[in-house]
Amino acid sequence: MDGKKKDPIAVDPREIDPDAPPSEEELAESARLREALDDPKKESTGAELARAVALAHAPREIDDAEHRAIVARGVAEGARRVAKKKRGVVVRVTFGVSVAVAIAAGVMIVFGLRAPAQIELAVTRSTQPLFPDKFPQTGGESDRIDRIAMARSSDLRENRFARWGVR
Amino acid sequence: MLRRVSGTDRGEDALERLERERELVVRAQAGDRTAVGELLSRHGAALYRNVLLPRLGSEAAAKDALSETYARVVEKIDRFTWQNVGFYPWLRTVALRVALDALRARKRMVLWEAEDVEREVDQSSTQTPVDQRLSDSRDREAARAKVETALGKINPRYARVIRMRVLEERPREEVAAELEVTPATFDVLLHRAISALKKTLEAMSEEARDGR
Repeated sequence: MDGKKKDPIAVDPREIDPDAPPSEEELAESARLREALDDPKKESTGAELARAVALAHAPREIDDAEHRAIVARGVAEGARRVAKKKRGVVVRVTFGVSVAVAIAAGVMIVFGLRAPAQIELAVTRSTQPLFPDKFPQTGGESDRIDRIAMARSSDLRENRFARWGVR
Repeated sequence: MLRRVSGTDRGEDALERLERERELVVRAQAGDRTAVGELLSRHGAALYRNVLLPRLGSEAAAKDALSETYARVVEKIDRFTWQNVGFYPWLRTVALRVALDALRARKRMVLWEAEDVEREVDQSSTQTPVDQRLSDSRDREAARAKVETALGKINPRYARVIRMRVLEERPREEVAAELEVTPATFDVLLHRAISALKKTLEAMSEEARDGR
């Protein structure tokens, strides 16, 4: 048979002549199939299908000892996966709690430090206590303004320290 | 109310077996690995023989799939809801899903294609679950029927060659002599027979896929 001819099986498997002379290619494929059927380590799609058909038609029992080993292996693997999942959950929960605590701390810092009832702040008041002595009606204005500015700067600084909790 | 079934394995009453199995499931769901192991030991051999081996077509692949099935059972047993037919239907569905993954990862065609098992997975989640013995019997019949249907569609001489050499596992020379051909000619016949069977199975899968 000419090896370049179209595979007759592709037309209709029932209509071809099973005993028609084989092509060179067919002879080589047939030898490969025989070898693979004798030696399962050799690759052959034909041998693979033949074994699958045999196993589907008359499936074999699994050896008891081998089955016990598979049960042990499968259960151990399943337990490992469950433990891994739990570890993943613990990490996620820990991360979530840490984030929540950090946010709460931030909120407390921001809002807590601004609570006026808890902090004593310098309030607006007269400048009179800064000048216990009488001063002349003209002259010395700059000195007086400097004194007021210094006193108010000090108040502002103290108020900030108080809010930051470092006074 | 559980129904009594006659002819139970090893003389154990079916009702008691189910009750014992239910207890094992409760323990397994509470994290008892010994109980899981006992459940799997009860059903694993049948699962391998009737579900995984025919669908995957290789002992090595079926054993790997069995091990993976067991691992998934341990992982997901908390999702199982007890039914009066026992643990097996759920276990079978898990195994079918594992087989489906294995078939999808495989390039070569064996007896079952991924689409075939996909349909079975769908059926297992929609049909009323049945007990293990009935399920095993159906699985065995389905596998045999698939082979017989395919053999019925190829040239009878090819079918005979496959029966003698593959199904009956008779020696090459003996089959060649019975067919009155040389062993070398028999090799060609067998190669052609397997090729014809492969094409027929592919056509059958396509028909099933198209719902014809």
